[in-house]
Amino acid sequence: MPREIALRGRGLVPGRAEGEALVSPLAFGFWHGIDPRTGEIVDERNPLRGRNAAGKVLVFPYGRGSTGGSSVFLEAVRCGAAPCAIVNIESEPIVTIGALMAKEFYGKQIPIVDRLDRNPLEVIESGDVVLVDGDRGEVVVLKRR
Amino acid sequence: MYLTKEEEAMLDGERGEGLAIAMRILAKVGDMYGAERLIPIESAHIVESSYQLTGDSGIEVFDRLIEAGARVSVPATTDPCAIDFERWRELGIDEGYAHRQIELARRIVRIGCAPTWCCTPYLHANVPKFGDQLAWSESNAVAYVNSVIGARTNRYCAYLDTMAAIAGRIPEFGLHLDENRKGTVVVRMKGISELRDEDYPVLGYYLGSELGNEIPVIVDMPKGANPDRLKALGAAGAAAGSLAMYHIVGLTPEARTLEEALGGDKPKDRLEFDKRTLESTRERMCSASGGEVDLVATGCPHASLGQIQRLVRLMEGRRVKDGVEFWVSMSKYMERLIGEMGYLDALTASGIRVISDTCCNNAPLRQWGFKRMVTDSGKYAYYAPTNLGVEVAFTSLEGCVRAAVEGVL
Repeated sequence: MPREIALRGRGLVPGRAEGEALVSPLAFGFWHGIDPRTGEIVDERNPLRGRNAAGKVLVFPYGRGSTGGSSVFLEAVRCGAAPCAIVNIESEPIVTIGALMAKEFYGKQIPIVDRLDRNPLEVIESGDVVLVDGDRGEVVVLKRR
Repeated sequence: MYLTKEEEAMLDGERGEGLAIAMRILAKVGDMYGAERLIPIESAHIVESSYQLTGDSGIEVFDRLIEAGARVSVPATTDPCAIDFERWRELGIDEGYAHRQIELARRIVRIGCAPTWCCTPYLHANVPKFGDQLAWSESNAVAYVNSVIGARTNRYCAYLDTMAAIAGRIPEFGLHLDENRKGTVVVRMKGISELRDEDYPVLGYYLGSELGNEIPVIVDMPKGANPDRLKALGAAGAAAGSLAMYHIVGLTPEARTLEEALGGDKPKDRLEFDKRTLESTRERMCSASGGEVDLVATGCPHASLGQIQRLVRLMEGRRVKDGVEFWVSMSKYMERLIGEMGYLDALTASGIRVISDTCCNNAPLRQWGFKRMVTDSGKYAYYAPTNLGVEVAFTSLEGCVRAAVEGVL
C-alpha cells in the first residue's frame, strides 16, 4: 500500500485534479520556463529541464521572473500542454491568473493550492501521485515509496 | 471583497459582457489575495503584446474581448512585441509568424491600448506620479515606478493588466497599501564608495536572486544613481528574482530615512553588500569568459535618450567588426526622435542595427544561430541563455562597444 499524506492549505483556484508530481526545488517562471506547445521544461537553470509538465501536478515554491508568464501558461492550456494542477508554498498572481483565464476563456479547471500546513517541497517528490482539491484547499500525496 | 452597486452591475453584465469578463477575473483575484475593495487606477501597462508569449491564445482572448465590446477605460500602454513592425524581414522572422503578431497587435489597439510596444513607458507615454495607483505588468517597469517614483502597483501579469484597464480598477492588496511597502531587509553597502553604470545591474541581480520577494532597503548608497542606472538595477532584480520594490535611503521617495523606509518595523534580516559580493555576483551573471563574439546587445530595458547619446559618442570613428551583430533596442517613439537628431544614421553607419518595438527577449531569433553574446543588461544576461541559446558575457557599455569593434571578448 502506498503511504498517503494529506495536507491542508488555501484553495486559490477551484477544481479537482490528480496526476504525477513534478517538483521544482527552485522558484519557477513560465516565460522561458516551459515550452507552451509541448509542456517541456526549458529553464536552463532548473534541474527539471527536459522533463515534461503536461498533465502533471507541478510543485514549486514560488513564482518568479517576468510577468508574461501567465500568457505562456494560457497558451500551454490552449495547446493541451499545461500542468493539471499547481501546488506552491505561496502563489503570486503570475501563477494564478493563467488558471483563472483558463477557466474563463477555455473552460478548463486547473486547481491551485498554496499555504499548506507542511512545506510541499519536503513532502512531495517527483513521481508521487498527487490529488489537488482547489475547492477545499487539500492536497493528498500518495508516496511512490 | 466588497463591491459597490456600480461594480455589482458591471459584474452582472449590466454594463456589457466585456466589463463582466474583466470584473469576474478581478473579483476572483480580490478574493484570492484578501482585498477588501477595488480601487480606481490611473493607468495600466500590459505585457501580453508579444506573440512570443501568448501564441494564438492571445489572439483568441482579444477576439473574445472585442466581441464582448470591451474597451480600456484608462490609459493603457503596451510592452514590446515579438517583431519590429518595420524590420521583421531583416531579422529573419518567419512571415506567418510576423502576421500572427500583427493580428495580435491590431486587436490590442482595437480595445483602446496605445501601441507603444515599449518596456519603459515610465520614460515617456505613460509617466505616473507619486502615490498613483496603477495596474502595471512588465517587471522592470513595476520595480521602477514603485521604487523611484513612489507610484503603487503589484507585479501584475499578462491578462490581469488588461482586465484592470477595462474595469479601470484593481483589487486593493499588496503594494497598493502603505503597510506592505515597508522595507523588510536592510542591505548596507560596505566599503563601496562608487558604483559605475555596470555595477547597478549587478546590485539588482544580487537583490533579486538573494531576496525573493522581500523589499530591500539600501543604506550607504554611493552618490550617482540616476534614472538610467535605477532602471538597469530594477530590471536585473525583477528578472533574476521577484523584485517589485526597493528603497534607497536618501534617494527614493518613501525612504528619506531608514526609519521611514522600515515604517517602524524591525527588518527580517540585515545584509552587507561589499566588493566581493559585487564581483561574485558579476561572475554568476556571465557564462562566457572569452572567445569570439557574434552578438552584442544593449537597450534592455529599452534605451533612453541618454544611453543612445553615450553609445553614439562611444562609436565615433569606430565600426562594428564584420561578422558581429550589434543591436540596440528601443521604442519606435525613441527611434523617431533619434532619427530626427541624426543619431539613427550615425548608429547605422557605424554598423549598429537599431531594433524597435521588440528586443532580444521577445523576438524569435534562434535562426541567427548566435553563440556568444555580450551585453550591459542584467535582464538580457538572465534570459538570453534560454531565449537565444547563447553564452553571455555581462559588461559595461564601453565593454560592449569594444567587443563589437574587436569581435572578441
